[in-house]
Amino acid sequence: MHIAKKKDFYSALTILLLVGICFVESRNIDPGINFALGPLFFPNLLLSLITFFSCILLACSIRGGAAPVADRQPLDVKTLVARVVIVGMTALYLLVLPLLGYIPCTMAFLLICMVFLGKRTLRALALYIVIAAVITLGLQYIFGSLLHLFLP
Amino acid sequence: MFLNLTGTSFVFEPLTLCIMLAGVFGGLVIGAIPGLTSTMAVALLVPVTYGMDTQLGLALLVAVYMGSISGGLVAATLLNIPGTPSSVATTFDAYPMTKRGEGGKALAYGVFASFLGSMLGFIALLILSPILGAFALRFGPYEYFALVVFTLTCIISISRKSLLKGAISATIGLFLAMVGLSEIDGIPRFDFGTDWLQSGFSVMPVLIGMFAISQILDDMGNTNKAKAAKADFTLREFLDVAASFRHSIWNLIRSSLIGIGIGILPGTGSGLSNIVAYAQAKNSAKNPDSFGKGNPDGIIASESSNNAATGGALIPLLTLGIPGDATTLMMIGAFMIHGVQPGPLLMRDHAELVAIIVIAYLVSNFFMLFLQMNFIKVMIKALDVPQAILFPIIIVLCVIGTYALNSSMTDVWVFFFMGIAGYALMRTGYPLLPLVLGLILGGMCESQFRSAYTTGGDSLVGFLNRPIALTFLGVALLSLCMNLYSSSKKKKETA
Repeated sequence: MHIAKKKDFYSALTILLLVGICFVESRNIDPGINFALGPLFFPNLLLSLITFFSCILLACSIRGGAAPVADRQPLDVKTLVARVVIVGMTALYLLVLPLLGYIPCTMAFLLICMVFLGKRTLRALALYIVIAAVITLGLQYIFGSLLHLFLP
Repeated sequence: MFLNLTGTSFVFEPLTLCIMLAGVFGGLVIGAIPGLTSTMAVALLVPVTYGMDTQLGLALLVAVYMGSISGGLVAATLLNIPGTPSSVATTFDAYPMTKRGEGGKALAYGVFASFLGSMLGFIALLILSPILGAFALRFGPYEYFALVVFTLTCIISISRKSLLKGAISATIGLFLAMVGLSEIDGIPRFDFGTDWLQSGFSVMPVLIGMFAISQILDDMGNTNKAKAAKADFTLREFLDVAASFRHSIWNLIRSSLIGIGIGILPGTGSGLSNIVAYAQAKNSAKNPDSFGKGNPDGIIASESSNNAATGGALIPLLTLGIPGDATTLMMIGAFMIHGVQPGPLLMRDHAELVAIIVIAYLVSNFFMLFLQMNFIKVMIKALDVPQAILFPIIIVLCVIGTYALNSSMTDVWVFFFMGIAGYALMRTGYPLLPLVLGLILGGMCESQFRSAYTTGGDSLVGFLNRPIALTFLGVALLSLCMNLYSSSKKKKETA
């Protein structure tokens, strides 16, 4: 089987898999007292539509003509690593935020991200420390003191 | 439109004026930074308005909206990088002018075109809002459902690269709105046995995640560094350019009308209008070959249409509660946070808020002109902020802003995962706007359809007696057919 558009093929498969999980979950929903068109009518209709559209996309990705130019672009490993690290750093930040509190976590997150993405000189590091401190404390002042909103 | 006096006078209070001036300035700076859109500007500002009065918060959001749309002009003109999608067409002629040493003049054309386009958008907002508002009061479940269907076809049609992916994206958005308690019968759906999914997906975490995180991740691969740009920008040039606008009046009016027309259509907005207006200006020019080589008419067309579209986009927001674009979609979220339900009854129940939005729009436009004329050189400095500093700050702002919605880490995790999902969808060519609009419209779509079905005695025959609903459904069907036709035609041409 020749897959002409790999991105479309795999994205359609992923969507179909998620739709399948939702269909299974829909069997566990108690519709309660049945009014006309119960609570499952619309979700099931939408799941059917997503399935229908995804199947078309899947079929087109297999038999469709040439892949779009974007599909053929080489993967930039450096950028990919940067994205993965930033996503990982953000996940870690969110995990420790409720445990350690807003100020230490936010300052550390800002500083580490800036060092990772930017220049690594002594002067730049000093700048990053100042920016991280100003942003963290400034946000705390704006959200906490001025607007009386809770911070994590 | 009869403007409520309390609302009108509120805008002219010193505190409101100061906040709005700061909002326009902030919007201009954000709009000038490549990658930061008006949607993100409003998204970042929405949490800041939580602690404010509703009136002050809405005036600030309108000011930021106006500023950020215009701010894109700076980066588009001086760096050939559109700060916002609404400035894409501006780059076609403004950057060639900058290259030949006319950067200041190009900016002046853009600033005046923005100002005049916004003024025409204001006039449309003033004249068309009551007409659409009165029309909207005749809406029942049939009409609302038909309107949602029409909106969805508009949204899908903007997914010009792939209608199919636009349709999938919109349907996924509609399905996400089904998660949680059913609006009509209160049955929990698709919660997978967890408590946190029972309340469903809030719009704001999904919206902020989809647009901010995916944008940051996408921009990380963009190696276009903002270069320090020098541009002479004198008051004299402004006056010379202002005088030369008399030769481009028709281009200005036509482009503004295109902007207003497209702005009114739900799910479209300034991102599309600048391209359409530019194409029209080029097609009707005596010398179309000069476009793309530094013709001021190209800048006028793009900038007047994208600013006029902001006025157009506010019309469905104020009269129907339907977002004209992603930014007004954010503003709907802000309305709801402040306990105001946008829709046909807004003009009757909250006349002062409508007046504040309309007058804030006008005042912001003057602030925009004043700031751009005087502080453009200072604003250019914002372009020098490196991504390494900018991106982590945006992430922290989004996290704190999302948490502040309900003081809930669940919302923050929804924001995070939706950001990753949004990026994955973006990379695979799925447009994000239909998904988010689907999420907004999903609840309304289901409840209005079920209400219409029940009202009609468990039948859909009632639609046949509702001319407005039938018209919307007919136009939706026509629009879908035309899009399918043009899409297949394009494919054949490409093949």
